[in-house]
Amino acid sequence: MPEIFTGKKISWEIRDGLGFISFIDPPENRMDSIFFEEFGVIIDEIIPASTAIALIISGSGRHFSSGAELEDLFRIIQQKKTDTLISNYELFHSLSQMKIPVIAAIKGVCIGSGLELALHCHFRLSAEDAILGLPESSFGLIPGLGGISKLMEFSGKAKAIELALKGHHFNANDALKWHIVDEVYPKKIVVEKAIQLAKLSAENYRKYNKSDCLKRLKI
Amino acid sequence: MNKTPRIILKREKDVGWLQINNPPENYLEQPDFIEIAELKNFIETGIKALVIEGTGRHFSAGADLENLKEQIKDKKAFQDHLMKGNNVLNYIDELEIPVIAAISGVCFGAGLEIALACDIRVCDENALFAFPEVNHFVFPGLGGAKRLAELTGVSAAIEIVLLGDMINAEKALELKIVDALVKKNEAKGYAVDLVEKITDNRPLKVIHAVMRSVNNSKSMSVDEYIKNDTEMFTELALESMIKNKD
Repeated sequence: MPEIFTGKKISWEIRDGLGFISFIDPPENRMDSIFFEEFGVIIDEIIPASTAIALIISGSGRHFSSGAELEDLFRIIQQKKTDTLISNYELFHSLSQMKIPVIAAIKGVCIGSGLELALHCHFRLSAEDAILGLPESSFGLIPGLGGISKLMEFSGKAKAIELALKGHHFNANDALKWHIVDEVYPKKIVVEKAIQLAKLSAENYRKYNKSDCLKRLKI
Repeated sequence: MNKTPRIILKREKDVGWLQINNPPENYLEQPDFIEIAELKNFIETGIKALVIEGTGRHFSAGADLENLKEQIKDKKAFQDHLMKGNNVLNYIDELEIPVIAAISGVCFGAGLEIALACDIRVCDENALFAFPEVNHFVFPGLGGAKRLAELTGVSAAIEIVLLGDMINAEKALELKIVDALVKKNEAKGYAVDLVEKITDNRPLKVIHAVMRSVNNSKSMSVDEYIKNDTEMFTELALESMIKNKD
């Protein structure tokens, strides 16, 4: 299996034992059918065959991802391809089922399915400038890739209902307060911190739980 | 002479209000404090959210003990009331619109059980919570212990139910019994503001879908949940496409 994969929307490489998934369609790093195809290849084929000890997911440029490409999504739905939507969701879900730590390094805009993807990761480190949100309800939709159940898990029912129905944007500090992200850092060091956490958690994956790893990251 | 209704249902624009109206303590005369059919009719007028509050200073002090002693004499009838009360709270718990409890003053016993069946609880700084049932050698009979344990964890819930002690607003927030704590007399205002923000410009179908997803996430397997969410999403997307064409 290749140690480097460069698609149109996503790239993959192993550096120093760590697997880097980068969204490479800046500035918005939107998620369309090509994105999900490439994501599927990385998740289902490349990673299982790789030696990566942890995964770091980030967006190139200023933002993480501003979520789904609506026109493309509507085209899929019109062709009645609900199976495509189910398998997209399952790809996100499989992030949380990985046997190696999966870390989202968030900066800039991280909304809609961009945030949903991050919510399926084991850890979320966020830059101070990040803007997060699930705006789907304001277009007459719902977050369809697990955002609601993940918010229930991290922030509780009341906050999940509020955020999913208000659909407003919120900042990194609010996200931290509501347990949506685990730590907030200056933008310049988010990826560096993610690398540090990746190594720390990979080494201690069996020995420590999530909060132990985050504590050790602070030392 | 007509008695004042113990429960007032009123609709203000898209929001429904259920007011426990037996001041000052807002005692509940029986476990089935409202007929489920009446509540259902009210919900089905198309309200987008329901707020539950008490008239005056208190949410509700729960069951009226004197009344309860009378009622228990007829065991069969009492069991029937209790069962109906459970059905009402399960119905509220499973509603596909957000239900908010705006709590001030005392919120005890069956009052607390009603609040726990809501999706969101906001209280003011003077609020007090307790399950005093144990002092009368009974326990919360409307599913309150289970709902409490889901919020606080089992060990804190056991302590609260078995000690029967009062919990102040700050402690209630810390234990996650309430979701928001506001200044004195501001619980209602907070609820009004919140329901406006979560229902304004949101079609009822979207609200139903979000709430169904919230409820499903507790009860379904991952595979079932994914399938259900995807179906709801697809249906809403198809509708929004039709609308955009017009």
